[in-house]
Amino acid sequence: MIRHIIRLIWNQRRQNAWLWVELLLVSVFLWFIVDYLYVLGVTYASPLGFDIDHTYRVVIHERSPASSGFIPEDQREHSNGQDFLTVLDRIRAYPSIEAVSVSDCGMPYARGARSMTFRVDTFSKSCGWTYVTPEFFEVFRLTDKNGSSTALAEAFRQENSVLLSRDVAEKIPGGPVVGKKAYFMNGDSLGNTICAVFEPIRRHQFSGPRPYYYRPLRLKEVADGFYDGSLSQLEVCVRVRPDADLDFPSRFRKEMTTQIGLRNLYLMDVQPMSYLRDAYIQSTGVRNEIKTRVSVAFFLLANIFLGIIGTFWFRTEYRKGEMGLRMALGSPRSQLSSIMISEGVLLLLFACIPAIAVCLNIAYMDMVDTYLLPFTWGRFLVCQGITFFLIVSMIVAGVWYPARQTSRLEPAEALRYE
Amino acid sequence: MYKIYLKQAFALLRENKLLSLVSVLGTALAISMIMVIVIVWQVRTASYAPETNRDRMLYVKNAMATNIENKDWCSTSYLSPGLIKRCLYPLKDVEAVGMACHFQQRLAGLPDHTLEFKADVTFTDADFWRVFDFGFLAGKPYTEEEVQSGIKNAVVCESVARRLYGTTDVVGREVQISYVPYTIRAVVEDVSMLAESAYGNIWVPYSTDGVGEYSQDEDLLGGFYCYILAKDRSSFDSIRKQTDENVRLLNTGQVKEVLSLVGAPDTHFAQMIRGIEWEEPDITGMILRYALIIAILLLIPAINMSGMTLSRMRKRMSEIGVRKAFGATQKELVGQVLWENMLTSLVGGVVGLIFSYGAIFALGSWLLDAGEMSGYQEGTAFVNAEMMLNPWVFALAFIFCLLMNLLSAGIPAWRASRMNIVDALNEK
Repeated sequence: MIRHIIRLIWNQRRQNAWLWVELLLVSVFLWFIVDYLYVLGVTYASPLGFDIDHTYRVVIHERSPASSGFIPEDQREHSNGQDFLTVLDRIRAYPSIEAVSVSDCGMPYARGARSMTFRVDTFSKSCGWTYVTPEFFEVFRLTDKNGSSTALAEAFRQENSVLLSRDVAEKIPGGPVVGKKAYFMNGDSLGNTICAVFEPIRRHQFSGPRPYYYRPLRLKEVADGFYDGSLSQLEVCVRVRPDADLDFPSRFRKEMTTQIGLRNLYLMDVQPMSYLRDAYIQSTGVRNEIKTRVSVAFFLLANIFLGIIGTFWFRTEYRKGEMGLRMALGSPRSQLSSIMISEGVLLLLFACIPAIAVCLNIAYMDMVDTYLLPFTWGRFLVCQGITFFLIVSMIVAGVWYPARQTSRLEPAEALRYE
Repeated sequence: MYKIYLKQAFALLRENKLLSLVSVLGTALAISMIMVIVIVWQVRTASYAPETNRDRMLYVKNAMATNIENKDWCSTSYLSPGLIKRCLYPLKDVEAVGMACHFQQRLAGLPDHTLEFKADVTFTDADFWRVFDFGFLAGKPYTEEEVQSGIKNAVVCESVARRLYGTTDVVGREVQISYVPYTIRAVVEDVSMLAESAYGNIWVPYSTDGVGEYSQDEDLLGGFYCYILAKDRSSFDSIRKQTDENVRLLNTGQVKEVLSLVGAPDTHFAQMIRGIEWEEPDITGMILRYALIIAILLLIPAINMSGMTLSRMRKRMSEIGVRKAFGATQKELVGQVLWENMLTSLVGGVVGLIFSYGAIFALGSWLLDAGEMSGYQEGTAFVNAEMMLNPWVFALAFIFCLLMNLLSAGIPAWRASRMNIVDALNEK
């Protein structure tokens, strides 16, 4: 049977050559796109390391000296930082809030990043880091290996502690790191004690794990006025009880504007973390890239469909005689369409062999992403499989109509064409 | 003659409806994808109010300060107002040099704060109003003297005016910007976020706020973009030379850090694709990337349709044989096939163009990219006819149709024309 179909294809080689070239090109382009999307899909599905459902950022700003009601420094009884802490207590007392955290340019999806080298024994590494309060782990549900956020928060409350992400901790030689001292490069001679290890976190859904550590944000420094003038860089984030998370921003705003507007402070905004996530991802450009590639993929598939339907339609007209003869010799109707589908699929197989060679070369030249996911045979096979499946489904869809037309012919009528 | 070809082509189109539909759809699909790219590109690069003069504008957005003693210590950021005043204000042969600090959000409110909302405030100098061509609904913008003396005047867009007072007749009234009282001097039409340089909800003199001015030793870096409006494109070279000279002069007086503008001033196109601040924009790479995408979009359907055209040719072999026997030359035959195919391409092209405009209107926010900060901003990335309708778009659509036609019918036409008369007559 297969030999027979191969002979059929060979006899029609002139038209088949066009289809073959198209299938070859499309297999390569489509594989390239499928591979990209596969890598992003696998990355997207892997755990993020934190959870932003029901979390909000409460943006608190300081009034500028030009504003009405500004209290200059020499007339202040309290530093702006002290007022900030008072406001934090008020937010904490707001019903339906589970936890309130403060971080210094370190909340999830924060723009900008810090990094600094730290040292444990002889091991040193540059990592992203930030200052946070212990509640941070509860607000964003970072977890240790047992899945507990409270344990992390507890560990972080210990004197002078630092928490490392697991991907960094595993690189440090000499067994478990908890209890060891970590030293930081900004002239820190005392060092912090590693009190716990948290599961790896990522910057956003489409990026890989990010080596990270958290150091305690000292509220005393805030109270002493250390951050006065730049208090807006401190991010106040809250977790709201799921049952009370209905229209939270406007409710909170309405009820808390005056409470937060303490002396020089005012409530600037209440932002759902999902809004910050979307804006952040927009700024990375990855969404545009996905859009472009998905549209090209659809375009290629649509073309395969049109190409197949066009070629096979024409061929059915041209081959009515042949089909009539088959029927007259006792071929069942279903076999006629299966012959045509097999022709298409076999043609695709012939195109696939050189296509795979081209794809392997593309992979070999490092033109595919190997940063998020290493290039393995498994990944290659899965992506080739998806590509093949997509094209085959287009072939079947394209052959269906012409094949049905053929099988509906009356043998006697079809034979007239012979 | 061409009339006959077209008539014949029309008859052919009608004869086999399915095949014609497939060809037209194939062309339409390709043309619509390409035209979406072209229109999106057009929206990002063509001139429209208030960025009416994008073609004769130059941009300086980034500067790099390098430590003189240790060349490894360098920092990159936007520009400080002081730097712009020293290096770019003195440029000759230009119409205007303006600056602006973007991406600032403030709380806009009524004096009694019974109403307050977040707004994007752009901090500018007075020449900013000359570089861009805003549609003023009421009032006039602030002057250089007012900027110098730090008078708290503001220009608001229509939607902000309406939100505050329910009318655009608000000149002279007060708006509180993060609790700082400003007087509204003018109202302008809303600006789409796609006009990234001019965009804002509220514009105020930079001197009324310390924003974008970092307290550093030598006052080079800050938070401002500089916009240069040249008299025409031919003075770009002279402006670049003057800028380099001004930077060189500035650097001779520097003690701790020297300045580099990393290849700027950039044209509109170059500033748009400049990725990493400290690298010069990779214009060739960008063009290659677009060329590759467009090539794929043209080539795949062309191969597709070549196959179909060839099949159709085979059916008409005897006709071609007869024409040849009566003395048609090879050139005439190729011309005939191309002309006939042109009808399909044109129908496909028109359908494709309609598709692409439909797609932009339906999926505008999805297709149009208003810059990397757009997710944080309050405005909308609206489009209007002025941004999208341009003779160039139609010309390009036509050129792509021609290309498509040549690619999809060229080889079949050539092969048909070379056929042996006897074979053709015998339909072999």
